[in-house]
Amino acid sequence: MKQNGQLSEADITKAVIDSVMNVAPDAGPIGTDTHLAGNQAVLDSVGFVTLLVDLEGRLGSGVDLSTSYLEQDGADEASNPFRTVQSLVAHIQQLASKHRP
Amino acid sequence: MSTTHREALIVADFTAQGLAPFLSDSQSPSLKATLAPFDQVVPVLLDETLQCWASRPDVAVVWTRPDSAIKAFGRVINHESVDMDGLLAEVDDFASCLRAASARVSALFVPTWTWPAYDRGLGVLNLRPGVGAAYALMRMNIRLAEAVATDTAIHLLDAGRWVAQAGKAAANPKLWHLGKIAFGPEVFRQAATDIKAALRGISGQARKLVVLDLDDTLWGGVVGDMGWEGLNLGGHNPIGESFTTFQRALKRLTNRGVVLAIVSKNTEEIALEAIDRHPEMVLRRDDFAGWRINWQDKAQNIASLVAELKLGLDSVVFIDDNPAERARVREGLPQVLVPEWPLDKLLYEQTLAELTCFDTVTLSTEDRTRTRTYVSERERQGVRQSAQSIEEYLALLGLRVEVEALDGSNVLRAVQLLNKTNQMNLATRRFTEAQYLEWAASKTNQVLVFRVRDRFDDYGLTGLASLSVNGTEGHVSDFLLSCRVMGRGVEQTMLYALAEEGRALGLSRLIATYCPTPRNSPCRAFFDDGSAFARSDDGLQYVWDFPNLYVAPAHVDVHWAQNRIVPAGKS
Repeated sequence: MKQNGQLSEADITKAVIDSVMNVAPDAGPIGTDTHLAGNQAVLDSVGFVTLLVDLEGRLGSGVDLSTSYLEQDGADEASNPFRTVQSLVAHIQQLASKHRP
Repeated sequence: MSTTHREALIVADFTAQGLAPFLSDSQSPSLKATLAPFDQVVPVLLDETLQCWASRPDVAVVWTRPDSAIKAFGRVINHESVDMDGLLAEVDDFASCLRAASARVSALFVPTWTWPAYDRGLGVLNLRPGVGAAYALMRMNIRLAEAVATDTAIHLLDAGRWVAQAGKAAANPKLWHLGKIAFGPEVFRQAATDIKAALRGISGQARKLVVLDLDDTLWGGVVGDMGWEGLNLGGHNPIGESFTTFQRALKRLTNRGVVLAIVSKNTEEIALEAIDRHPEMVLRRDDFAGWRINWQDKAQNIASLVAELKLGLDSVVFIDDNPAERARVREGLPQVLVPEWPLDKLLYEQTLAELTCFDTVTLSTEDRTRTRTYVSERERQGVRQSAQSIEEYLALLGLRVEVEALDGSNVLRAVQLLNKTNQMNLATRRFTEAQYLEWAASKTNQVLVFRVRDRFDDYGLTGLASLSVNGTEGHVSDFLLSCRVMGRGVEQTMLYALAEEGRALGLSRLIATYCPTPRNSPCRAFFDDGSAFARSDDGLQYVWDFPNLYVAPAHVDVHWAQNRIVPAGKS
């Protein structure tokens, strides 16, 4: 449920998980600790890119994950905000807060 | 065709691996997808020695962008002047490349060309002949469809429908720039659904029978409570109108070879009166192949009805508005497809239209008249009940069998029969049309097809038998008969025809080898008890020795078609 016009953490988490299942129906059970990038990722690079764009469509304007991803290129795995579902949710919340009026 | 794990090769000029997970999901059949080299479509189609063909994939999907596959289209979208004949000539060239590759697979799927919906092109001029991109795209797709129509291994799929279903998520320029991905996941999901539906149709798994409930399924209300006059059907209210629309959609199904039947908990007389008398009923009594209208368990009724219609439970779709009845049938008859049905009656027609279980790759005259065949069977049963003996009944049928050689005019129906007949089928071999024609063309092989009619109905081409000659022995490679005409002497007539062929060829014996499957025990029972062939000790071979004369059943009028003359090129 939106609170003060913003998506809640639960909403964002659901959007991320739904998006992963939409892009990779064969990925198996998805949870907050599911890896999205790196060696243990359930998605390949094509699936990951598709996930970002699919997620942008679900979250609406103001969350530009594609640009953020390009800016992160080269970042080490440990600090990569796209590493897991949980880290991506936190990153989305951070991006969304920057666009609050 | 193989019924084990299948492999699909994806050939594309964009990043198409998003299709792979949907091809390999649990929806049958599951396909393991491999990718041809990126954007090497024409070389891959033309060169069978490339590594991507080494694993001999069973299926290929060739998916291209219109501006990449057809260079002239790239000029169209640049608003340049383009000669339409030259553009269509490029389409013909592309079709030639597809035909070159189609022989390597059992099915080659080609999604039609689409263009991103966000691109308005020339707006109002987009459909102007010789000017607009939308016009050019339509002509390209129609030309492609016509150019590949005669190759039965190539199947054009309507990608425009997938794009429409996906809406704004169909294409996103971000996907293209980030990864050369032309479509969003929903388009790939729709594509995989249609590819799998087509493959099920090709392998004879299309559903053939829709069993329908009545109250609140075919009409609004409970006929036993309110009488037929009180039913909500037709008229000028949305619910009543939606039921007639749903009935029209069901009637359309019968024109593609699907048969309708009723299983309803009602008093039969009252329910049939509604079907006969309600002025807004679209479906009448003769639109149904059979019914079980009583107060018994629906699963048992369905099983009984399906047996009467000589179909398998895996041919059946059950539609009922009542979730409890649906659950009961799912539990009791797991082979029956029971789709979830919407509470909202205004969505019945759409839900029916979205089902993917009826897809076939051929549509014949026999398909279009299948319901009539079952109605005739009801009339035939009336004669049976009045006959004093089985011999009198058979004589009263007035059975006629016409024997033809396989040729271009009957091969479509013959291969359809070959691929979907299960019960009266000696060897259960499966072929594409091209494969069977190639087999039949061999000098040592003979294929006969049988058209059957009686005084009630013309069943059409319903039997097929083939011989493979090895020295002085004729091996019965195929022996199959539609269940609609089983048990009336046509089987013996087919053996008589094979025997006549064998005598003409100077053979010493005919040998039929039975290959058991879960479904073809009726064929074994026929050869054991009705064929008069001698059974081998292991029970799997049946032999007829010449010069013994095989006599056709007395009640069957046998005719030999003109094309049965031994074809040129065979000694």
